Amino acid sequence: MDKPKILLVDDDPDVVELMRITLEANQYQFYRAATGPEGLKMVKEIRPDLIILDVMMDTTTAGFQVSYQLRSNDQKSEYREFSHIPIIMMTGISQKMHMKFSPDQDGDYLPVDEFLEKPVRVDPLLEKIRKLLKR
Amino acid sequence: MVEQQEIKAFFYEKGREEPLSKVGWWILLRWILLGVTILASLTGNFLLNLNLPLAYILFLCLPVAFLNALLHYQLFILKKAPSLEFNLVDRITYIQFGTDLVFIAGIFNYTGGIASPLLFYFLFHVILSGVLLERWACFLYVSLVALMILTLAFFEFIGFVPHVYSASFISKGLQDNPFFVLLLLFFFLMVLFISSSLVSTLLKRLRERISQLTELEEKLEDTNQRLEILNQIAIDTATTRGLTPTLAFICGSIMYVMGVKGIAIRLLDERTNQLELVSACGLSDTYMKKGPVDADKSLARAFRGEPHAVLDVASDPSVQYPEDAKKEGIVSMLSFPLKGREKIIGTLRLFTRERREFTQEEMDFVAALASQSAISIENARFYDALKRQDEAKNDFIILMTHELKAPLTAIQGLLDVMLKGYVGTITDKQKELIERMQKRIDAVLEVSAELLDIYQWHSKGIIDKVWTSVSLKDQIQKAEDLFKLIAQKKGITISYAVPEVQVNVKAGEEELEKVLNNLISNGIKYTPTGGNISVHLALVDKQVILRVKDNGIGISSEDVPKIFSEFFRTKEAKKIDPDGRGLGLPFVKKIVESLGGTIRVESEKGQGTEFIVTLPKI
Repeated sequence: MDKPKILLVDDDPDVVELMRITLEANQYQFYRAATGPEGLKMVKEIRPDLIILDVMMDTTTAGFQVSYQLRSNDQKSEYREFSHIPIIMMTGISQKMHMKFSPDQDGDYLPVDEFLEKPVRVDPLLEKIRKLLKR
Repeated sequence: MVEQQEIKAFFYEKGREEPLSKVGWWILLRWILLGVTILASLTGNFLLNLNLPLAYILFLCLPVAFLNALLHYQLFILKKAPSLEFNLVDRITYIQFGTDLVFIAGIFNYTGGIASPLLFYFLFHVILSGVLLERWACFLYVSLVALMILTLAFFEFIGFVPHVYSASFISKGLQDNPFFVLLLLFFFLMVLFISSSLVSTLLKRLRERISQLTELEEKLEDTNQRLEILNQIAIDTATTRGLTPTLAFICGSIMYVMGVKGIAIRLLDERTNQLELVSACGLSDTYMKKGPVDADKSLARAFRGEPHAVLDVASDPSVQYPEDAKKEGIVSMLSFPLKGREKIIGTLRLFTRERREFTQEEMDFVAALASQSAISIENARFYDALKRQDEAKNDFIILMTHELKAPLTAIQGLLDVMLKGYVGTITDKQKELIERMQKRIDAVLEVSAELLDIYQWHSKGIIDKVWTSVSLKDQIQKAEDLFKLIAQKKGITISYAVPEVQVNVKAGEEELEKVLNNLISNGIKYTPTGGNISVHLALVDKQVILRVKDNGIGISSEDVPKIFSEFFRTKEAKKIDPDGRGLGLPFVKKIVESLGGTIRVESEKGQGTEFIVTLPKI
């Protein structure tokens, strides 16, 4: 079986580097996009098995916007065939507090599968990836 | 404006009740006199055998009774009517005088003419006319009465009208003597004229005194109003209820109390040297937007610090917009400086419709208001500036914290990667050092998370937060699970007491978690081993009361008021936990307050501390 493809959408090169090292060391194919639009483009191109989004890139909610696009309820959405791809959202503790959505509420519209609190630590990251890829 | 209406209505009521009550009194008097006349005639005829022409007398009484009933009804209607025409009251008065005169004359004739005991009725009437009528009308009326009596006497004398002999203080013989009758008439008419003259003179003096008193009362009221306005403005200045309403109040008050057309308050824009309108009343939009007002034109003197009057805008060359002022109906203007603490910040100007010179007293009053306005404006400006600075500071802290957090977060992750050996094997010593670094970075990240928490609340508050119904009992259960081990480790007992029923509040779970965790972890931190903490939840009326009480180190009385201030920590707390930052309790307070609740603390040094949180129950 091919190595699972993981797409990281994040603009911090250091975070990208640590994720790259970690994921490649754990037998994943690593892809990276620096902005939301670039990420969406790459989703179509490489068809990843899992997406990791940083909640805040150039705007405070850029990450959420990407996930809303992918998980759109619109039948004609161009990302319809990608809506099943699991998403992990990386957030700061204080950022999560200000989100309108939390995993406990609004299950129907929940745009992501898991939250990962920053700073990103290797063990919880790998644990979450394994859990989501098993499904 | 409301007050003005009230005052008008008040005077209106007074003006309406007085003439009406006089009319009422008069109607009542007429009923009594009618009764007395009928009773006296009946008594005279049947008990004293006077042989009065009863039929005539009763016949005369009938229309009078009818008219009086009509008047009575009219009065009843007038008392209920929303508005009252003074002309109507006057007319009723004249009608009454006229008909009464005819009536009395008839009765007078049929009860013995000049010898009638009812002669004194005329006296009543004359006195009444002195009270109700103008002086000239009163004399005219008395003259009419005199003319009528004389005519009647003359008619009797020539035999045109028969003379009725009634019981009288004058003997029958004398009644027939024309000289005696003339003498009697002369004296009687003298009495009439003199009494009417006395009554009207007395009343005239009385009226003068009353109007003087009313004037004084009005003056007093004016002074009172001025004092009240000054007082209100002083309060506003001290509390800063917002500059716009305060200035609007000042403008409206001056306009009302001084009875001027309009008021405008202008502030100097230092960049353009123009005076910007900040508040006005009584002026049209067109006039207010007439164009920029230069500080060196008609307001120049006011701007140098002294009140300046322009008596006629049309002929004063310093007026910048004479045409607009004329169109607006402005004749005179009076300008005052707004003296700030260091310099003059603007002007306050009064506009009048007529040429008007103000008295010193009026000038002093407006000058006092102008200085109060200046202080209000400065206070509001300082307040705004401070608020802006505070917001800028918050934004800066948020930005800086984010900037500091991002690299630290990346470093933390990268260290983790090294620790895992993904980039080559590391020695045990390297591992130990990396772990130390991570610990320090975690500490800094924790501080920055706290800072962000508190300052993001500062800046945005909870505007975009959506509260839901949260069970406080569930949250307390969560806290119980969380702190069980920690408390056990330190040897502290935590007891929980919650009501049987569900206790829900409108909040966010995370926020309530923060409140509970903060209060309980503080309790554990500042209570020595072996101590007790109690978490008590109760419903009182429509309030939810949460008490977290410990028997720990307590807070000294001078520190209690500061305990909710950011970054404040007591000496004792610093000894126990040197790394604490004093942001927990301020944040708890912010959360509680944004949920519509309150928090207070009761504590005694060495005895323990109790936090009491009150939240509105759903």
